[in-house]
Amino acid sequence: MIELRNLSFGYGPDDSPVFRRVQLTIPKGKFVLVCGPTGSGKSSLLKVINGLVPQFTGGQLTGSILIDGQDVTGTQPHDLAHLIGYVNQQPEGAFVTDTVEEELAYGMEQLGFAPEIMRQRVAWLTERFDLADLLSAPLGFLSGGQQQRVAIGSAIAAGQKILLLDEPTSALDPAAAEATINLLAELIEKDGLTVVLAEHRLDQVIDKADLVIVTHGDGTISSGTSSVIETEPRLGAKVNLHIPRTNLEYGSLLSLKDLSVSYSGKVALSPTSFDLKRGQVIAAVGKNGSGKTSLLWATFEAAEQEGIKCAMVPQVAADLLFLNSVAEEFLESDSYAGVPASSTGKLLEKLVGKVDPATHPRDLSAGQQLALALAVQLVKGVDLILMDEPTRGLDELAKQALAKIINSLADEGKAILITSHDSKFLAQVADHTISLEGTE
Amino acid sequence: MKHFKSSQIHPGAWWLLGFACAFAAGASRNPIFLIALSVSIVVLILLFREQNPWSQSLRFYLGLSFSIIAIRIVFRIIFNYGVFDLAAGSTLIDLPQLTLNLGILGSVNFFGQVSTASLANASIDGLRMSGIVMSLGLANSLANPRRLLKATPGALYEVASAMAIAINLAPQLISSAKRVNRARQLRGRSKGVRTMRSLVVPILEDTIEKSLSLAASMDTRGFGRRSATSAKFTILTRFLSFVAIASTASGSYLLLSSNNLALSLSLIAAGVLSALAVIRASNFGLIRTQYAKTRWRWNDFCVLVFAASIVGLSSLGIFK
Repeated sequence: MIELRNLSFGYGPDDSPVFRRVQLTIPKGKFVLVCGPTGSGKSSLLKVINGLVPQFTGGQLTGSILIDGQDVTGTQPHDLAHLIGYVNQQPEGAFVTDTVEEELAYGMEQLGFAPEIMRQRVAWLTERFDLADLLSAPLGFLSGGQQQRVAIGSAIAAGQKILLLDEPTSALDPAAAEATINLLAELIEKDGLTVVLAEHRLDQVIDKADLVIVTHGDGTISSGTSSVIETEPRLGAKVNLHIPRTNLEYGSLLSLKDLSVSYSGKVALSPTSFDLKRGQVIAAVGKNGSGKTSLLWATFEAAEQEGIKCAMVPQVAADLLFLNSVAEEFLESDSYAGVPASSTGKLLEKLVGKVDPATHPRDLSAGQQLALALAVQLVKGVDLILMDEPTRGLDELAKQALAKIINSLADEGKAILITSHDSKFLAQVADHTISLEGTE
Repeated sequence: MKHFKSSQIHPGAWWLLGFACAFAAGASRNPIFLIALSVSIVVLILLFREQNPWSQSLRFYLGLSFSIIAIRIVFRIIFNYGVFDLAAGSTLIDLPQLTLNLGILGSVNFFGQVSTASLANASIDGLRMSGIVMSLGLANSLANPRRLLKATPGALYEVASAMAIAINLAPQLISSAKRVNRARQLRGRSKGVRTMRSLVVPILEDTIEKSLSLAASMDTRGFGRRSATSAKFTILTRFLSFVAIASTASGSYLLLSSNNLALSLSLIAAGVLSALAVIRASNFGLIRTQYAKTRWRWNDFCVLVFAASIVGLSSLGIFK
């Protein structure tokens, strides 16, 4: 059982608190879903439980955390490692060793397990998580779903009874995401684990959850059955927007024939042909590694060669932002494009509403960063817009806002090419879909 | 020959071989031997290396070696005067001499006559140093840092972990630099913004974020767990570590800079002994166990015997 008593946490006296006098009880053996808008404290709630907050983040924490009745407030994460397993948002970046077998054993080594017991447990995990064929495989070569299985197996290898997962499905295609959720449900049912899961994609989890916790972003949380998500309008449970689109036919902008990409002899994108038309949104879909990102960059280069002005939002939109405040980004962008002052500001406001110009670009929400990265390029006057996985990290409401932006840009006569895993989102915006087949 | 792989040999053996080659390079002044040593190292790396991030650094070490030799020669030409007996050997290049009067500091001479012997001497110095660099390159390219990390005694485990992470971060840094650079070109940049800033801010943020998330992951899995040890004990081990580093460093310096082989070897020995003491002492308080021990096998011992014979032969002055 996990209990948070009177828990408050904040980064500094000037910042608004992340949690304010939170009371929460998580019973044993339950499937617990933590949801909430981006930046509302989902990850922080998980990290409070195993001590990563405040040990790794700094900040001021008051109140107490109890695990099975024992007060563990202020305990270092490594001293809770035998009780709590934790799976990071990107398992690939959290792997410590080279191969699956070593990774499974790593935590047990740190906790001082005897070698024979480690071997027994690794054998058990191998069977339980269906990893027999992968034991000596390098971790970097695994698919997203396989990596996720290894990460979960490693997190509970030492017999931890509590498992915390931070958005485990965010980088997975729908099938792998479903398999991961089913695996977790099985761990709860068969092994009596308590699983606490922070998630954006609610549709696959909400029915399985025994307890739903909503973080509202103002320091408060709500918990209860699945209906509790209705307390947070930004989760968009009731939003079912129909976005009107005029769909004027503006004519062809660029025809690409047999576009292909290879790096040092390895094919990244097999020949693909398509037409980009003004006013049309085209979506490229396919598994991880099928060449979606390569397609975007190749299209970008082809268009530039034809003299078509493009805007491109890469997967990490923040890569385009490097100044200290939104206001400075506006100034830089206006002066570079040679447009009247505050053009970029007005454009951004049109896209996402007012943003405080004193904000540091890194402190913007994911949706705002994306819009700013787009605005600094749109201000140059472009005809083609390319976006790489723009919905990653966006909550339901931000996705709706993005869908509106895309549709209004298409209405202005721009051609748009996007890649995404999110079929629900694509259904709202895409006129055409290109399916890419993997090369491997 | 493709079936030979660096992972078939214990990473510790690769490092010892690297040190042995470095020792031989440092002790030799024979240009033919030094060139042969560097060439054999390159061949060894090409034969044994695997597809790993740390194995792709051969080009870097080669570049570094060549620039060391070049810098050494250029410096010799610039700061030539009085460094070497001008009478020895014939004059190869005759440059006008430049004298700079520094007032109370006296005067400094640049350029002047450069003799063949003087240049040969500089080249040999450069070859020695690049031989040492190549030897370390051998160890670094062929020894898997993570396997070495496992074989490290408990006391060095935390330092070794930091090193392993650093080695891992280097290729990651390159890939995020590429990514950010490409993104930056998308946007363009007015003259008021410095290139460095627009590149460095996102790259550093990316790298720091990734290393923090790795550190957090290691911590949540129990890395750094230990039972309580007394403060005095910690001070003792820190003092011993200092002695170990200081005497090994000064011993190696003496080995390269003077002919006092006995003193330098005994300093190195003292360093190794105190390092062993630290390792022994720090093992108290650690609870870490090992899943699969990296054992020394016969082929590892072959490498060791090879390394030992290099050290032995060069101590006897065979490669001089």
